[in-house]
Amino acid sequence: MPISYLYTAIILYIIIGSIVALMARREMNDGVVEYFLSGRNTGGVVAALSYSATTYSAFMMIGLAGFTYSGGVGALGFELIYLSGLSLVAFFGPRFWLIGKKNNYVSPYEMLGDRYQNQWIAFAASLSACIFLIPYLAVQLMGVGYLLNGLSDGEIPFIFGVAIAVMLAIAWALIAGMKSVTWTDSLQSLIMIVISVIILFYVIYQNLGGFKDFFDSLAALEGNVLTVPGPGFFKFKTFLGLSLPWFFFSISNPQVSQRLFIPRDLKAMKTMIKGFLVFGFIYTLVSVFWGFSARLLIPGLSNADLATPELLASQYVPTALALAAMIGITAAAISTIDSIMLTLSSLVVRDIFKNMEDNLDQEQNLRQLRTAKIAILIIALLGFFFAIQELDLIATLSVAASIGLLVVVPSIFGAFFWKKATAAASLSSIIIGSITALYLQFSSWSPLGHGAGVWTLLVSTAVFVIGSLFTEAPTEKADQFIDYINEECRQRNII
Amino acid sequence: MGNDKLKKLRLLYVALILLLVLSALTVPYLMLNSINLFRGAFLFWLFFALIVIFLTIKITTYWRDN
Repeated sequence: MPISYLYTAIILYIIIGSIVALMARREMNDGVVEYFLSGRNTGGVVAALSYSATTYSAFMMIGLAGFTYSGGVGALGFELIYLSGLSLVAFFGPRFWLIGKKNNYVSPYEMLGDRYQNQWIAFAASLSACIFLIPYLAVQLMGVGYLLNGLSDGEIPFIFGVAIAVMLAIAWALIAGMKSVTWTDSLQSLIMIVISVIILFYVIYQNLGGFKDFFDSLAALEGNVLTVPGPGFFKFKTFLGLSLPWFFFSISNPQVSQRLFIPRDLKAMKTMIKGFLVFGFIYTLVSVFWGFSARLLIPGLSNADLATPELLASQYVPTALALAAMIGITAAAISTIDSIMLTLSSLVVRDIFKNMEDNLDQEQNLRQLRTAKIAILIIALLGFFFAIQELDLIATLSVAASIGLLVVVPSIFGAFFWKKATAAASLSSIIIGSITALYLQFSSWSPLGHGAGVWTLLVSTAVFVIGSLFTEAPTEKADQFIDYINEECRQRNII
Repeated sequence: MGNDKLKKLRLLYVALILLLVLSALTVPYLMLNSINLFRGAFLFWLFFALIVIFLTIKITTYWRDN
């Protein structure tokens, strides 16, 4: 592909995105809550589009398409089980929102620290999120680097793509905090979905004879790709080990659970959930069809992660569409990166360096915002540094991200539904769970054949439950917290 | 809505969703592993996702802003 086309497309994307970010800046008010949560006043459509863009990263069109290419239809099952995990938001979403507004929480871990009356919980959960999410962020940056490098036949250096991605993410996060992130996310999610659907229909109707022929061709392939375990990758235990951590993604990952604080009202949250479910269903199907199309059109790739880049570079996709896809995938990566950076910076400010105070005066507000901006820069630099090292360690930690973040799930369930849950149990489950996730991931040990995800969830849940039975709960706070939510839920028909 | 009714509804929806997720984990492996066609695991998972999406949206329709 001519390199001038690539540069033109990137420059256009940067200009349009930056205009949107600057428009968000004009609407921005002062204060920490405004910066991190857009003043808890986001409308349903923007919340839905932004939630979608944050959740779905470059993994979908590269990693999931690759899973489909090598493992067949199991990839669809795994990703749809993840999507079904959004049903958790129907229960937890309004609860996060209600208590967040009442107690002025900015980060989900700040909420846990307050609920269990132990600041170390917020500290440990935030530290664990940084350990797992910074490598995940680095892998997204690497994705942009490889994509531009591959599409330009090596003319655009890997480090250049990484640098562009990190600078854009910094700019769009710094310009107006959550407001510029949600607005640019909305634009990017539209780019992601529209472009991927157009290319999919083009490839299937132009090159594969339509959907009926497409499925007939898949059925005729070796390896029974329309069954599980099919070609072999999706053996049941692998499938379970992948699906289980991702089912809890919507409450375990702080960059998405923090979004439960931002809707303007319950109506906006409804729209957010509906919009995301529709977006997720379509985008999942498109990514899986994309992987299958590559399997039919360019069989025999030794590295399945190259299925999408190779398909884009092939004669089956016209240059204009390939360019558009490149922008779509870059948008998916950057919309995830800037959200993670913003959320991690809020964890640094509110939970690591503390401190939660209900009514910050102007100077405290300014100080927190200054720290947040420095934190964004440091997190971005760490991501950049990790990305350009291209270490295997980063890939391992990144895969471990969805597993490592599971450790807060028992504490979140306990916070809302179990008055006897205790701080000691919560803290132990987070620490022991994180150690379990890291140890199993690095040692590649799979006790009884089950992966790190299954064991991490089991260990952290067991520690949480047993620990709560033998230690003392913060009764007064638990009553205050849960009774308030129950009463509000009763009045608002929240199930 | 009363607390008891909310609790019952919550149990009902949780049970339904759990059952669906369990089926999504097992049915394609146990019952559809010999159907190498669109109407096998592919269609099953599509239906599974659509039903969970429907139930999730249904839960939100009960909500009322004060």
